[in-house]
Amino acid sequence: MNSNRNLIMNFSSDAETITDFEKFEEYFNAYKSGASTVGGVSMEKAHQNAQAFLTKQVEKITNKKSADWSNNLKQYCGFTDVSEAAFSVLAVLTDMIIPNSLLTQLAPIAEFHNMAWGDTLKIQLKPRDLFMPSKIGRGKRLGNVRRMYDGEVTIPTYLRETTVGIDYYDILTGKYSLAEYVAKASAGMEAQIRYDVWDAFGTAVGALDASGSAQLVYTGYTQDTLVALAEKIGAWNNSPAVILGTKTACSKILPASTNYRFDLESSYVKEGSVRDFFGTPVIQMEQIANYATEFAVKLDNTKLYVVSPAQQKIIHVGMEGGALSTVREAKESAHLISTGTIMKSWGVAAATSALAGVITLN
Amino acid sequence: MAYGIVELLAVAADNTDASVKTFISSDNIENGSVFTLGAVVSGQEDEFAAVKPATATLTKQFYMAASPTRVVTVINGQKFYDMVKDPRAFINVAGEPIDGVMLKIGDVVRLSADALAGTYVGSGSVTTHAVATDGAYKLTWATAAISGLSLKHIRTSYIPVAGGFGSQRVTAYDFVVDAVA
Repeated sequence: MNSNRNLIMNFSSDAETITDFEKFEEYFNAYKSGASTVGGVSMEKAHQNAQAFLTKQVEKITNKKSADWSNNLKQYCGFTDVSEAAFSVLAVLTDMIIPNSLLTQLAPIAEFHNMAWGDTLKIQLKPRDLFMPSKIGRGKRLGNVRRMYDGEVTIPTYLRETTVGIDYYDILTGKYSLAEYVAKASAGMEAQIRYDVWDAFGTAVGALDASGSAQLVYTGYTQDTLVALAEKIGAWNNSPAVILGTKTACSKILPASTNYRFDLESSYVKEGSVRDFFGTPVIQMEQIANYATEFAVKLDNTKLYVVSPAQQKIIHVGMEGGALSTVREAKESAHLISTGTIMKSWGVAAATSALAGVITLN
Repeated sequence: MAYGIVELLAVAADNTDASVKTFISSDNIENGSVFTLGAVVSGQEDEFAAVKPATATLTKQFYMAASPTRVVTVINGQKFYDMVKDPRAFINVAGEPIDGVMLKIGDVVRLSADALAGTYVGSGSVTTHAVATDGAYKLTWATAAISGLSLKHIRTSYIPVAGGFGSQRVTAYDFVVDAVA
């Protein structure tokens, strides 16, 4: 196994370059969060620095100086090795940015594992049960010989690919940029991983028992149901539970007594939900767009999940190898279409000895 | 398909080397299944054929398969070991040595539901025993003891097996050996 960090270290042979990559990551995160400055410089300056960084890496790989082609930059960008180098740098950046970006939001439920090409992700599981004692006579040497079994879950990875293309004529007129399309394809990969994680989580938790003493799936919110579920999850995981939900779902977490009052400065009004509910923290999950259906959202606004984030994560994501990219120049195509392709391989599955529960709101 | 799991909770064979024998069979045999002692395997000092229960042998001394759960996967005749880590995937593959434990009256064993043929329909007077059956290695649920190997159901239990997500308890039944002949 290796890590994407190692890939980046291999790609960038000197400390200065590594620092530049880290700065780019910082810039990306600041850009995404809507910050106006990053690292003490304006976003505009940071954007210029990012462009300069990309150019420097491409020049380093191709040994072609863009300054020598300043009178005909289009020709420079048209060189096969230049475009290949540009997309390989983008692929490395994608590897660096995707896990970090996902980690931030999926940390309570998912763990990411970076693997080399050809690796298979295996999650080792230990039973959560204990051996409980029984009464025995004072003259007996052994009790019943009992045992329990470890488990292992293998998570296969599958290659995903997105190809985008634009007409050569549109490149010449400057109407469209292949790089912009590829950036959107990368964002699509990130979104798909996020969907896969939430789908696997929702399916796994939804399939748990909905009745009896093993019940972990409930329909209908009440204060008692939520508090009891949080107690049960915390007790069986031997780790404090938290409540997860979208802003809409979390706003429904209110005490049974209707005599509550809150002022405009309260956390309920300012943040959309209470921060803690009877001693259990409430964490709002950022809603995400569901690009499969226009204007749909992915996270279910009617579900409150209870998990123990400090225990083993429910969902495991195996990222196989790094992102790959290939570029086909327009002139290599019979109908003059330039394409960019991003490939990435990952697998997602529920594999854990930790427990979770869910309440579907009324 | 899930195979049977056995736990030898308290058996006389625990303290007697002669009560633990090595068997071989041309059939795949699950842990928790039973057989009688066949001929010693030619050229082997301590390996016996496992004989499938038959009407004529129901009152003979039985042995129960209880091998370590080292899962064997056979692909194109090649054997691969431990590709799967789950006792429910384990079966004593034909040709592999089987650890057979001599059952004695008073022995207490725990068998997963998959180790038994038939259906458990409740304690009391309904399914009270698991018995040796003509033409089958697996013990079969029965409403009474037979003239032959009979295990009395004493408790419904579980065996912890980690895997996937959610419940980790495999339904099991505890028995005490009631009769061996």
